[in-house]
Order: sequence, then structure tokens, then C-alpha cells
Amino acid sequence: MRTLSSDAGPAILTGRDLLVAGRAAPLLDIEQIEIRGGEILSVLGPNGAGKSTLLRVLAMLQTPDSGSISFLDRSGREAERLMRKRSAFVFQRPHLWAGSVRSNIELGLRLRGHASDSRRQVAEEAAAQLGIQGLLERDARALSGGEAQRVAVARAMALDPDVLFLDEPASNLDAMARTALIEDLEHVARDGRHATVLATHDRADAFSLADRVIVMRDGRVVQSGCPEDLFENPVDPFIAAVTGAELSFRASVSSSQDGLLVVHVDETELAAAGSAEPGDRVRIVYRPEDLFLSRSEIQGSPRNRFQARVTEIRPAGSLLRVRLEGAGHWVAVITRAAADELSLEVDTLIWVQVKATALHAFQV
Amino acid sequence: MVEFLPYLPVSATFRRLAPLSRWVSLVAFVSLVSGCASEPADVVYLGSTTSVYDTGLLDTLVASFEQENPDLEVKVLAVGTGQALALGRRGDADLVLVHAPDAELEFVQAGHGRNRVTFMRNDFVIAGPAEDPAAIRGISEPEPGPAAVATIASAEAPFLSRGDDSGTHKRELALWAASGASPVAPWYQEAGQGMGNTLLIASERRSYVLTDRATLTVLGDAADLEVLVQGGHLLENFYSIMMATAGRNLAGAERFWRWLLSERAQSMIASYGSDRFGAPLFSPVPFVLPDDSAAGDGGEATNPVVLAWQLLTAGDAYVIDVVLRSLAISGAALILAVLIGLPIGVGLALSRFRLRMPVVALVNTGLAFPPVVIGLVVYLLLSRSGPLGPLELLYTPGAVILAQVVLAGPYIVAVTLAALDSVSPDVRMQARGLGASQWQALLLHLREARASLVAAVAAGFGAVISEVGAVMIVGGNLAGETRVMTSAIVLETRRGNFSVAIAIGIVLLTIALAVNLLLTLLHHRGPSSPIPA
Repeated sequence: MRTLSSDAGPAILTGRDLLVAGRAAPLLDIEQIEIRGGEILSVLGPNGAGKSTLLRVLAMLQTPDSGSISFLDRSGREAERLMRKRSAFVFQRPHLWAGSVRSNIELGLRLRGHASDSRRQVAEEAAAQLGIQGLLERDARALSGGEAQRVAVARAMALDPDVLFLDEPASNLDAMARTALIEDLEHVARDGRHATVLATHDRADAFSLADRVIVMRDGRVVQSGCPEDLFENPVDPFIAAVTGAELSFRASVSSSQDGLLVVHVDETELAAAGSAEPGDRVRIVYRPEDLFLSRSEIQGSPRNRFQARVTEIRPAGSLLRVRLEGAGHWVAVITRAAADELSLEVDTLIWVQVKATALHAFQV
Repeated sequence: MVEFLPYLPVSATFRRLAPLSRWVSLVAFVSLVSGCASEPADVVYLGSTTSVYDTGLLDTLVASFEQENPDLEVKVLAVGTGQALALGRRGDADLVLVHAPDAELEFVQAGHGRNRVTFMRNDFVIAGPAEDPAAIRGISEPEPGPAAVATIASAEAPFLSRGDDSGTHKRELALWAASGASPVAPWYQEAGQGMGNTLLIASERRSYVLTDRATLTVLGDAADLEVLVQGGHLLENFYSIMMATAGRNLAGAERFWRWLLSERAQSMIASYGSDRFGAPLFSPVPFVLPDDSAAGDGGEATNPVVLAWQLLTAGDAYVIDVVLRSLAISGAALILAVLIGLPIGVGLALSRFRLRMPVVALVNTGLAFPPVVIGLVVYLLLSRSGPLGPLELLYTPGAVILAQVVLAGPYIVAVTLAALDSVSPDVRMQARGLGASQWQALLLHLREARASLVAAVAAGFGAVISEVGAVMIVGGNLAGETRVMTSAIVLETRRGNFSVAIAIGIVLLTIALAVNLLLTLLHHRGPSSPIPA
């Protein structure tokens, strides 16, 4: 695995050789991870990948079985003391203490011994940032999920931390509340005053917010980089799936040239990105939104074009999911408007085009 | 069939239940003393002195009677003489078997009883420790009883009185009166218990005690006491039976009365106990059957609830003493139980060690322990021959406090544990995530469980202050020392002082009400006190 780095400022938080043992396999096993001042780092991965464990270990809320953390050039107990003063952690299910919203937002300031005047002012600013000024005197136990999560974020922001940890802050919210919260989080995270570490299993959240993304599986970092990197060059089918390329089929390689492969599916020849030797069997993964459908054959750059027959059309949210047969089985996602324009129906014959770089080939 | 009815429904088993059940038991108690019970005609209630019941004689007689009269059931209410007469006066007993001649005559003259027949006797003795600190052994006066108590008084040697208005107590008071000496604390103490218990307490405290010979004989080695003084007219003990004019089943009562005075019953009395103790415990007394003419009007009954209210509003010194003593003892026990139980509960809630489950199970078992059994265990620990005997705590407020700590401790531990567990499991980590130190995080966790914790303490207080079984066993119900509200209610009811019992009952009820009110308020009030910084 490789060292994570970015162009942002110097590393303020570094973890080395972090190991948290589990029953069968380690819950966390990371050689080195760095958080740089002011950056937004998304930790992406499925449930159970070790994202929460990583955040808790980095925030020094959980002691790893081995490994070390240094924070602002300190280590050991000194780093931990500093971490308590200079970081804030927002949990997936925030615990709001009995009392008003205001008392909850002021909680961390109280713990630090701030005077009541400055507490009031800071709490009101933090509440304003999250759009909950109107809730300050409400009973914290009588809030909706989205409001409660906003209070939790405001409570953390009030501390003006150097590092803000957000552990799945939106995953318990309904669709509307989560969209609104993510927008506010972006606003908060982009103010540049602190580094943000966001754990999420939602790739849209991860990619839309982050300067850097690390993808975790089974307690390990599988790949890291800027969002574009991960989209363009997934290192394996798991990463490809995590970034949305969840569809795949098998093909055999006939030639390899300039990082592009020529593969055969049924009788059709396709170009795909990846490295393999002629004769290898590969798995091709792609994102359904990368398929372009048209009534007539379009001359142009995409090297991959073939005719396919529509076998099924199913609504998928606001979009339509179209199954196609021709050079293997394919799935495309198009807008309803596009479907109307194409007068798409089952059994329609249609041209399919897809960029070679949108087809990721991995050896099997 | 012979059946022993525990006359008081304020039973120890109620102690653990929710405050509501304490109300229920008190309501049951009040309704019982106001005499709401009604029974079918084939049952006769016999209010009897404990000394006769404890020897087993009454069981033998009643079993024999019921064999001959299968249509009639005799239920024995084994109480002190004072309460037995009170039961008869109220019509809660149809027959009364007691041993206090003056009180009996008064009872009959007031029209509460008739057909009084003195039908058997044994004698009182003054018993005491073998070392006999006042040297009364073998006093040979024509009336050795008063001489002996006078000697005890001048030596200020410990003397334990029944103090329960029983026949034996009345006789003891007669001895003091005849001696001219006056019994005073601290060497003179009142047990407020039946004969058997009083003897056990006297044995532990190395006290002199007046007892009927039969009970001491039956107790045998259980009491480490010796007969030191006997004989004389004032130590004779006569038992009488009479019918209560207010009784509900006078026909049945008369049948048992006649049977008890029959030659067959008299010969059973004459021989009872010879096989086990080498000599009979009682001897029959010749009597003449009275005629049935003397029947009174039942007398006027003053409402005990009204009297109780008068006691309360007048600030009766005895009631106040008992209430304050109760509050002090249970308050001290509660503070100790919290000081011990709260840290243990917190420790159990925070730690995850290998033996945690068994320890929690043990705590919950302690929760389900019958208070009387806890009383017994503490008694065995503290008794003269027990491992903690050298502390000499038995029958002191310390013993009661210890028992109540053992009662309330597991409760405090279990509720603390449950209260902390009921808050979200990572609450301390969340506090740390906002910058709290370990200690601040713990305080923030406790703060969230605060309402439950206060509820636990309040409920624990309600539990210990309304417990009676363990208090009686380890405290001995000594006046001015270990007599608390519950044991005082037991005693005063036994004495027939219903008004005092009700007055204390009202106070206990009020405390239960206050505790519940506090719990309800806590439940509804949104906490907003400052966060520990």
C-alpha cells in the first residue's frame, strides 16, 4: 500500500502501523495515514470496512492494539490531551444531553471552561452556520433526526477544532434531510479553517465533498487519491464497484497496446483500459451511465460501438434502467426525456457507444 | 385443623414491592383494625396469649377438639394478653385465653366478656445469665419476686422487659410496684416482643428477664439462661378463658369453652409436656362453672382513627421518637448503601471483565432475597457466637442499619447499573469526542442517568423504612433504641393500642406518598442543572 499525501498543507495528524485486532481478521490494519491541515478527506467503504474504527483511533477515542498517532508534532498522552482540546467528533447517532439545544451546543465550551458570555456568542454563531438559530431554546430530546444531527455538527463546530471527525453523519437521515445536511457540511468543511475526516458508505457524499478519498475494505486501505483518480483508474473491481462501476462481464484479451486492450465479447471486438497479456481472461466493469444510446450509428471518437436489442425498460428513481442484448448483456441508465426522444421500447434495435476508458479490464 | 394466623398483614414480603403495594398493605391494615372481616359461622376465633401457643399445648387441644367436632374450626390468633383482650373487645375474637387477672376482671366488668373461668396455671420465674451479676440466685423471702427485682435495680444490672402490655409484662410491673424500686434505662430495656423472642434477646444481652416457666422450658438450650428465682404468691401464673360478648360466633365459642373445661381437656393439660420435658408445663385449676347471666352491653368503642389523629396533632412524644428514630436509622442505612452501592454499580456498568455476568447475577439474586432471610443471616453474623459477635452490635441501631444496608445495597447497585446502561452505550466516548476528560465523561454519563439514580435512592429509602421482618430480628424492637415505625406498629397492635399504631401508620403512609410524589416529579421534570466543568 502507498503513503497517502496531497497538496494541502503539512500533515497535522499521522497514524503509523495502526492495528486493531478482531475475532478472525483485524478490524483495522493500516501502515500509514496522514491528515493534512485544512483538507477534506473522505473514508469510503461498505459497512464493516473499519471506517468508524479508523476515525476513533485517529481521534484517540479508541486505543489501537498497536501503532502510534502523532498530532501537531506531539505523541502519546500529550497528543491525546491536545486531541481532546483541538478536535471534535460527530457520531452517527449523536447523543444529545438532556436540556436545551443551546446547552448542548455550549457543552464542549463548558468542558473547556469558557465563560458564559463567550459561550453564548460562539454557540449562536455555530447554530447560524447550520441554520438552526431558531432551535436554540428547544428541548434537545424533541428534535427530528436531521435537526439533531445539525445540533451535533454545530456543537462540534463551536469548538473551532483543527480536525473535525464526521462518522456517517447523514446515514440515519431520510433522503431530503441528508441532501440538505450534506450541502451544509460542504459549506462548513470548505471554510478552510480545519481538516475534516468524513466516513461514509455513500460514494456520492464521499466524492462530492472530498479533496481526497480513501477506500477501505476489511480494515485496510485499498486505494486512495483524489476523486478523479479513483474514478478513472480503479485498481481493482472492488474499487470500480465502490466508484459506481458495479456492472461487469467477462471477455478474453486478443491484443494489448498503449495501456489499451482489445478484448472479444461474443463476436464483437471492444477496446478497454487495463493491463493484461493476450490470451488472458478479464473482467470488464463499467458504469451504466457511461453507455451512450442512439438511433443511428454516430461516426466519431468512441472506438466501441455496436448494435443491441432492448430487452427490458425499468424505472430507477428519476431515471430509466435499460437492459440490452448484443455483444453480451449490458445495462444503460438514461433520462426519461432521452428515452422519449429515442422512442425506446422493448425489442427496439439501438446503437450503443462507450469510451474505451470507461471499460475497466481486470484480470481474473 | 389448627391454623396460626399472622395477625398483621404488614408482612415482610411486601417490602420489596413497588411503593403502591406498601399502600395496599397499609390500607389492608387499617381496614383490618376497623374490623371489616366477616366469617362463616363454623369458625371460632380464639385470641390467645403467646406463652400458651408457643408451648404447643393449644395445638394439641384444638386438634383434639376438632376431631370430636368436625363441623367447627378453631383459629388461634397468638398475640399478647393486651391484644387478645383488644381483639375480644372489638369482636375480632370470640374467645379469649389470657393470664392477667386484673385486666380480665376489668374486661368482664366493662361488659366485654363473660363466663370467665380460671382453668390452669403454671408459674413465673426470674431467669438470667449463669454468672448472675446482681447475685439474686436463691433469694429466700416469702415473696422472692419483688426482692429479686429490687436487688437487680440496686445493682443496675441489665433487665429486659417484654414491654408489650402482655400478661407477663403486667406481672413484671406488679413486681416492680411491690418492690418499691423503679426500673430505668439504660439498664432496664423493653423488647416489645413475644416471650420466646424476648428470652433470646435477654440471652444475647446477658439480661435478667421475667418469664413463664413453660416458654423457658420449651426454648431449652436456644436461650442461655438459668432459672434464678422462683416461688411465692406473686410469681403464680393463672390462665383464664372467657367469651367475648362482641364475638360473631358465640354458639361455637361456647362449645369450645365447654370442651376446654371438660374432664378430658383438663387431663390433657395435666399431662402435656411430661414426655418431652420430664414434667408437665401446666397444671389444671379446680373451678366452678359460672352461670350465663352476666352479660354486658359491649361497651362504647372510641374510634381509634380519631384518637390517632389527636396523637399526631398533639405531637405525641412516643410517636415522634419512633418516627425520628426510623428516619435516622433508615437515612443512615441509605447513605451507607449509596456510598457502597453506587460506586459498585458504576464500576460494573463501566467495566467489562470476565466475571462480570456472574457478579451481576449475584447482585440480582441479592435483590430477590427475602428481607426476613437477610435479617436471619445478619442475626447469625452478629449473635454472640457469630463471627461478628465481638462487635456486640446485635439489638443496637447499628445492627438495624447493617441489615438495612444489606437490604438496600444490591438494590442500589442493580438500579445504578440499569440506569447507566439505559443511556446510549457510547455516551462517554461522545463526551470525549467533545473534549471531555475521562472524569468529565463519567460525570456527563451519570448526569444523563440522574433521574433514574435519584428514583433508585428514593425507592430504596421507601423499601428500608417500611421493612419489618429483619428489623424485628436484628433490632429486637427495643424501646428508645431500635424501635422503628414498622416494629412499633406491630407492637402497638399487639398491645391493642390501635390509635398509636394507626398514628404511626399514617406517618409511614405519608412518607410513602412523599417518596412517590418525588419520583413522579423527577419523572416529569426536564433536568437543566449545570454540567460539571
